[in-house]
Amino acid sequence: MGFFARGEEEDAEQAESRARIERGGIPTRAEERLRALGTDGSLFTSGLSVNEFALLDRLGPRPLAQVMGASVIRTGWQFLPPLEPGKLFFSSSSPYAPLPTPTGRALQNLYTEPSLSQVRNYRWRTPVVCELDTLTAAWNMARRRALDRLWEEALQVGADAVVGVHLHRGDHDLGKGTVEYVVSGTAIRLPDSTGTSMPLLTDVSGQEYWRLHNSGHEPVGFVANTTVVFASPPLDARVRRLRTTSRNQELEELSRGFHAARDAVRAGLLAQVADARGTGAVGVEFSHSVHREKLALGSSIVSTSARGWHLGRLGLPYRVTGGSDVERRGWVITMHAAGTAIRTLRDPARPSVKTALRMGTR
Amino acid sequence: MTDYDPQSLEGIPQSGLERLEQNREGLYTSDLSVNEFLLVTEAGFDPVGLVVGSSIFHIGFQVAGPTTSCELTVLSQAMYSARHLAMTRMEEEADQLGADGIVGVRLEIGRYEWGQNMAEFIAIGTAVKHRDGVLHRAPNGRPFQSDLSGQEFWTLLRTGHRPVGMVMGSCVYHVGRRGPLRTISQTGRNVELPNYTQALYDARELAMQRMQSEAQELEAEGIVGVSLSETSHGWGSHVIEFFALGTAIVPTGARTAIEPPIPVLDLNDP
Repeated sequence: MGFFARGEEEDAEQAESRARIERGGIPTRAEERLRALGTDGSLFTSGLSVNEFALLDRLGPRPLAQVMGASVIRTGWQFLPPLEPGKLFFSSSSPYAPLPTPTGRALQNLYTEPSLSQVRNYRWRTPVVCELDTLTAAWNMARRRALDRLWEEALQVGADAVVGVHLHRGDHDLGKGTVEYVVSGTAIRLPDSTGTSMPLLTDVSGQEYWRLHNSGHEPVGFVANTTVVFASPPLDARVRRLRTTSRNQELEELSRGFHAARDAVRAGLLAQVADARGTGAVGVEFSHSVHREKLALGSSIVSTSARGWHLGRLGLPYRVTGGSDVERRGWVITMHAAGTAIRTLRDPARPSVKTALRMGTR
Repeated sequence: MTDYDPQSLEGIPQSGLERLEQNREGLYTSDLSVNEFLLVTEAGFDPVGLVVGSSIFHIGFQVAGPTTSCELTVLSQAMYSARHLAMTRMEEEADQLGADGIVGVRLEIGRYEWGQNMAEFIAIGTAVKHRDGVLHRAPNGRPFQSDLSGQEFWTLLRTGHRPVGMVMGSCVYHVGRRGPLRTISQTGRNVELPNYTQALYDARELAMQRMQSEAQELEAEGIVGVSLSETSHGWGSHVIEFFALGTAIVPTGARTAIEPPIPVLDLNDP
């Protein structure tokens, strides 16, 4: 079957496509196919259901092509935020003891590694609720790149908008610690367009687009955000919970963690809505996943250049070993949100809604 | 695929022929719901019978180097030909009933315990015929197939289009692993894995291209309701099947614009 045969010049094309992907673009073959779909009178492909197709047909826009974007990101190392640098205390009999100050004899910021007591305290007493920046950045980067490719494809077919953008978090087990996004949607062109405008992304369906349009609103962009938060109880809380396991009790750090995650996601969405010059966002959907993980504490000195012997402020030599092997077990909360930013046009029409009561059995 | 003879009935067993003979006498079966039935009838079509096609296929195997990203043509062909066989058999049944086409086609893959590398591909749908004998077949003379429900069929006819066939494209792709040197050199940072991204893109490109060329063969104006699915039918995590399925449509010219919809709030409890 010639249908399935692969040509000779495949390798050169593959290399070219690879270079384009590394620059954040789309492969050559996809670009060629989409260009062809963008010309007048050519075939169209669309992921629109027939109902959406009919509504859009009535409204004017016509579908051009189904567009997609994909990105697979391998996440970097994730550490917990470092402890504050340890404080150095002097006994009053020490020859190096400074003069007493109104705040006491402690000197700030002499020693760049957490002290043993700090580490012990951290392990036993401090609840940790913090954002995991590397993982957050990985999710946002994967989605950003996938959406950029989708946008690039829409640009190639000369679309005015992409409706029904669907985010799909990949679940292929392509390797440890990979984050994968596949986004797809249908590129449409408005009736009197030149095909040279910047495409607009939105996750509303054809029906929702129709309703928004009719009531005087217009979608201005797709907004999405992800935040990853780590919540871990200290050892003493865990011991306490084990002892009082028959009692009802709140898991404070988890509650705080979820709250922090929602807050951060919402703040990110708001910023994106403002960037898109929208007046609000509709259809925002939250989803989250929680799994347990053990994370190590990032030392305050991640770079190797800080390791070794140094001279302190008083001429005291001190050594930075870089090894504070503290690990915390806890929950990693990954919170995603996606929606469409809309802008209210000057004169929003009030839609007249009829109510209906079906008399059937269901 | 070889050239198809529209009169051919070779894929259908004897008992099937008898059942179809009964259907032709006026009795029909259909898996349309009552609402679908009413709408299909309103659109000027009558159901003539439930048609099925099935094919049990032995899927061969293919080995790809661990770090190469490539299409697994043996598996691709298996998935493609098996679905094609099932759909063609269904079409032959519809043809024997003298139907114009098939609506509500469902394509399913069944796996059984008694066959390790076997899969049953089943296509089920309801054959319909135009009441006044207006020919609605595809340009090549075969009955059209569509996965549209009765409601969607009605709406589509209202927009001045009609289905001409179900088009599909499938591609089984092996996503190469990364070499160890590359893995080590990139540790610690968030990096994109271009070979995985490219593999996903390639697989989709091949599937979409195949679907498009099928639609072009049918001289379609476009394809609606494309569903893209990625599955790995138990072939391991690095082998994925990209499957695109949609309905090719052509304009009929008989365009009756749908009435402006009225927003309705349903007061029934869900």
